[in-house]
Parts: sequence; structure tokens; C-alpha cells
Amino acid sequence: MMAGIPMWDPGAETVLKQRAEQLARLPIAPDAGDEVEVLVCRLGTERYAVESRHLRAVQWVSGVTPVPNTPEFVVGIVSVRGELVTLLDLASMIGLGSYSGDVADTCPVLLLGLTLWRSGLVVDTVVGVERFKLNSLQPSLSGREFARGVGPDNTVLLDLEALLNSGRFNVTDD
Amino acid sequence: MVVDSDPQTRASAVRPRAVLLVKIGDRQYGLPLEAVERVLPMAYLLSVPDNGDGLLGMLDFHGEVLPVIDPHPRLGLPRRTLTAEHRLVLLRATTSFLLWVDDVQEVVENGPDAVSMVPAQQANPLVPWVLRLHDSLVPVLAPSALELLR
Repeated sequence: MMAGIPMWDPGAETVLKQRAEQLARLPIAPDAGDEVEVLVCRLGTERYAVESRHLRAVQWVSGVTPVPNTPEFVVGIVSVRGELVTLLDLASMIGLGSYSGDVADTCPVLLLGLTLWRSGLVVDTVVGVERFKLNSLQPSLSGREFARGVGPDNTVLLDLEALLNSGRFNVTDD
Repeated sequence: MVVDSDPQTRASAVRPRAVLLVKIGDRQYGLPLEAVERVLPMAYLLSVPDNGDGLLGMLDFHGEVLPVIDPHPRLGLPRRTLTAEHRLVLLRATTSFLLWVDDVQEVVENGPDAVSMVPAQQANPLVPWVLRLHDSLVPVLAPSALELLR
């Protein structure tokens, strides 16, 4: 409890401290005019983007096989042109809840092109490819841990490498 | 605390063209939209020693340390528990500061007679105007008087 400041709502202190850290950061400004190509998708009602250099393809898949005893963020496995791919629920990974669609139906999957990650991210809708200027991104105030910033149309640019390398989403064969 | 209650100053104040409606405590107030820079989510605030009733704390916003004003004591409202759902409105008057509000509602464009000066006998530099909204009157707060709260 800080002197002179009314009592915080119990449980709110952590998120308030995260916000204070985010608000204190200077706006992202790497190189002037630095531009990246991103793939924009929807998770629920929100727009998210990932850099297209981290992806090898977008595939509409069906026939997902759920795998028992796996974490909530694992949707299942699917065969993409003969290759078995583990599907991960991007919404669940970033704390938005579970995939809102039915995996028994056809769903769009972002196939990762990162070394050591031969997985796919399930999203609700693929919007399309856009270009974001990194120096015009606004800091994310939503508390999203893996957000690089907010671009046009309130699109949150995700830091996919940080997300996947956080150690939280490693699935072993055990 | 020093406040400017000079009627000449009040009369020269620019009538707001649009008003941001906010909730402070259980009441509705307006803020002139021209003075509103941004709306931020509530964040953890740095306490300052010997702060007055009007100064809630400080916040580092992109490298600029801004005072956070608590309007409750001056408006005669009981202090409330801070929650993550509360908002900070970045206002620019002679200086920049953040105003703690419970909620931000909507922007109201003024019709020809929607905003009126408060009658002279009710002179209050903190509330120089009132907004007529449907069947109710909403006090419109003056940012220049709010920044003096601290």
C-alpha cells in the first residue's frame, strides 16, 4: 500500500504494474521507415498480426485428430501433404480463451516456418497480408505479454519468436 | 489552493465544441474534448511524499513523468478503491496531467445550445459550463482548474 494512494483492488496490483511498465516504454522506433510484411488474422473480435517471414504457408485444414492428455493450447494433429503437424491454438496461447470454432470443420492454420517449430497456429479468420511501419506502432496497453505494438485498425503485432521461445509451449513426445 | 474565480476569465473561456463524458464516483461529468489528449488504462502509480488531497501520484508515460490528479475530494465525493477498470485521462491545460476517472463513456458533440455557462451566482471555476444532455444537466469540468487541484 502506498501512502496517500487509496487501496488497490486485491489482485489488480500485478496487472497495474505491467501496465505502468508498458506505459513507461518509449514508442517502438527501430529504424525510421523500417517496414515489415505481416499476415493479419482475427481471434474472436480482435485483429492480430504475425510477421510473414515466420510463416511458410497458410493452409485450410480439416480432419484434425485431437490428442488426449495434452495441454489446452494443443488442438490436435493433422496431416498436411503427408507431414504430421501439431496444431496450436493461438488464442489460448496468448490468453484469449480457447479456439471459438469447431476443429471438426475446416479451419485456417498458419504453418510456422521457424526452425524447430513444424507446427501450425489455428486462428478464427485470415484477413490478409499487410505492411506495417515499425516506427509507427503504438505500445500495447492491453497487457498482452507478447505484443510488439499496435498497428493500423487496432491490429496487435505479435512477437512470435518470443511467444514460441518462452518455454511455455514446448510439447514433448512423452 | 489558488483558483481563479475572476468572472472575466471565466467569460473568456472557450465554450467546448465537444465533450467527453466520464464517470467520477457515481456521477457523470464532462471534459472539453479539445483538452483530452488520450485515455489510458489505470496503472500502478508512484507515490509522492506529502502529496495534497488532489495529487494521487505520478506516472511515467513514455518518458514523461505526469502527475495524476484525484478529483474526488474537490468534487465532494468519497475516495474509492482503485481498480484495474478505472481510467486515466491525459489532459492538456497549461501543463499536462492525468485525471483519475471511474469510467469513460462517450463523446458528445454540442448542439447550438447544448452547453451553457453556469450562472454567475453559482460561479465555480471548476465547473464553468453545464451540458444539457437529454433530460439531465452534466457539469463540464475545466481542465485548467483541475490541474490546480494538486
